[in-house]
Amino acid sequence: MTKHSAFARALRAGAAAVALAVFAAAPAMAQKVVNVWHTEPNPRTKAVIDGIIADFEKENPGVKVVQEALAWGDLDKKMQAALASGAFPEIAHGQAYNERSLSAKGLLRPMNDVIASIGEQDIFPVVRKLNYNEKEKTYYGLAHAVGVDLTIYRKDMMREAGLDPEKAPATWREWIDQLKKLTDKSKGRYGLSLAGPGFFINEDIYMWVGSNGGRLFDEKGRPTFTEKPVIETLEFWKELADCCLAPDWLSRGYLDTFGDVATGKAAMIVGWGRGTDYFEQYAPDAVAKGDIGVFKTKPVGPSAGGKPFLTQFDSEAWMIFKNSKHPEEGAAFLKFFHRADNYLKYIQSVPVHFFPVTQSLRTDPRYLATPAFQKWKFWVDAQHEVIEKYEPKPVMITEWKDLDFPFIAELANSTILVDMVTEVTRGQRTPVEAARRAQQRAEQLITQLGYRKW
Amino acid sequence: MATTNRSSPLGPLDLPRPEPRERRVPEHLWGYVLVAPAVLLVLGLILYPVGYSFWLSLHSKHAYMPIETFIGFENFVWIWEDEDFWRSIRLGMVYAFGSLSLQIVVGVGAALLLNQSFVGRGFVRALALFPYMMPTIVVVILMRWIFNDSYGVAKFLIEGSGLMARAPVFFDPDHVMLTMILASTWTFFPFVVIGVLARLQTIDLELYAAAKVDGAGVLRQFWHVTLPQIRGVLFVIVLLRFMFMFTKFDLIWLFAGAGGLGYFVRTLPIYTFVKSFGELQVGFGAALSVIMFTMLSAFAVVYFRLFRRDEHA
Repeated sequence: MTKHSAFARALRAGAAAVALAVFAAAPAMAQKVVNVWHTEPNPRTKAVIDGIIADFEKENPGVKVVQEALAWGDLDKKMQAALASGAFPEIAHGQAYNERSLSAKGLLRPMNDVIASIGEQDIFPVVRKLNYNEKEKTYYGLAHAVGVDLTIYRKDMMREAGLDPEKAPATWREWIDQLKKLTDKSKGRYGLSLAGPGFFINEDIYMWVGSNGGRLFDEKGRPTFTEKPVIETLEFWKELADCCLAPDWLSRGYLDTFGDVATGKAAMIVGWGRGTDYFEQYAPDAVAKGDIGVFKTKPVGPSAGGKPFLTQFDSEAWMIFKNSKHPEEGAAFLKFFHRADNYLKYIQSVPVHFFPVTQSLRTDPRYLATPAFQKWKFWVDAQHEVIEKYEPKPVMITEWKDLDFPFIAELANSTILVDMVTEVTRGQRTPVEAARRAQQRAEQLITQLGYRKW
Repeated sequence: MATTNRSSPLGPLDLPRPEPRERRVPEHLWGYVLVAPAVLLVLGLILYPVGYSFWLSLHSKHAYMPIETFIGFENFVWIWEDEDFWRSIRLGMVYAFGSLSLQIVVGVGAALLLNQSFVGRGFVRALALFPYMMPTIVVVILMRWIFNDSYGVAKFLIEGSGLMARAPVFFDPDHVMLTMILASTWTFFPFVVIGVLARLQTIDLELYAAAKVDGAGVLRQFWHVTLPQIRGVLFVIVLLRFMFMFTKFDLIWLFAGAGGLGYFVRTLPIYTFVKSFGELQVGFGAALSVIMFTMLSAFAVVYFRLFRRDEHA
């Protein structure tokens, strides 16, 4: 065989291989891919979403849905890269303030059709309020599920300390008194365990300022950190740190705090229903005896003036990016996802923490028969009561109008509020000094970002 | 009219005829051509990013929104007046000098030991390099486990041995910098071991023999023979490790993050990250990077000059 003929034969074989590859890839290339970025990496939830995707793809040939579960911090970074490069996913989770900010910049597809397909009036009023843009009469997002931050505690430790385990503290003063009785530093036992990373300090500061009748911003978006309710909150936090928190509380991760309650290192924490799994795994005795409890209400500060407490609404929204490749297919997927049967499966993948956004599902016998509710129904009921009566709000939002300020994400990701709390609790600055410094830093940040309106 | 006549009255000049010239690229141009890829690589990979950082530092630029305004040196003015910037420099110095000093002491000590003859030396040498080969995330998880206040091995050993009634809380604000320095020392001392051990093995043994004849003990041998011999290596190690530690990001970030506990170890790289990707102010972050780059360059220049002057003295 000559060199020439060998070369020609190789060339023909190569061409045939390329043709085959192109032919084989053709159906895949014709598919419309819907990318879904979410923050539920729990294997059970991912498996349920996989099932929903498979059913959707059967009903919608030519559409392929790809889910990507990410940790919160990772999603933020991935989103930044996507926004900078213009490579948007079709669908992504986002905090409420991100939803407002992105819709104001014209990046989101309206979701009124998705809401209509679910039944607008079926959605809990507080969820509608959260996701509805009053000015534009448009929904730009919808919470995938909701949850409420509650005080979680050990009833047995309350009893040991001579406290009534069913009586929730009504004021900060009552709470401090309870926590002091629950603290025994010589035994390494503390009344309260708080998570120390910045995100969680942000969560606590806005809830407590709101529970003290306060706010973080005025009508024009100017920070109000030097107002009395904020100063009192800092004084309260300092007292808490001195009397009732572990000395290493700043290094405690969120899950560590659940470990503290499970092992009896702390009597109380603030947190979410996802922790039930943790208790079942690490404190099965306490669960079996019914010694894990949650309070339906939270205490208020001295300046509350009759206003109710503020607690956090875990309510990340689905958003559809207008400039993604297949936004309409994305909308179709969300409509399919929220069909009662599919949504029930999703909610049951994290049965206590995922509270449904639709009232019909809340009363659906299939939902009420969720096995986990035999142990944890009181927790779900407590969340329901807060959702119905107390208007929980998302992180950093003390008043609904705050959602429209375009700098909330930057402020939340800065260390300004976190440093304010840290400096006070460590005694490095008085509450007034720390608040002044935080005020000055926040005003500077908002000015530098070009969002100053006062 | 004057005419030009190349012929001499004595007859035609017998000048050598020039050979026909070849059309060749001059040799020095070939040099430029051959060096060009390397120059382009350096320009693309080093000078362009540095230049772009400087350009960004003159702007108010959002991390992902198309907001970019030229503001001259305003970012640098903000930084000059920024209390947190100066604090981050101070914390960075404490961390860099603290961990560097311990790495040098432990690293040189370990290298001296590993330079001795003993059974299993090869295995121990390999083992000594182990911390340096571990991924940072593994080191952090390991350290967090060892130093945990509830179930940590360190707490168990300290309290169990009766050394202290209650072990210190390694991750509280009072101790977190020390914990970070200890963790960094453990992770990076093998770098010193590798460099110093390689040099120790090339020292002429006759120098030690001569020192012994002169009556020098172990310490004086170290001071007058070993130390001068490893000085050159130590010079490079100190320079590199200081720069590595001053710009260290991953270990501190994974240990403490930005807020809460991170407040107490928020060095300049962490602060720069928070400004760039937390507050989304890329221009401000770039200005911080430019300052960091300038500081380290200045440090390297001063360090080289001091060392050279010392060498010539």
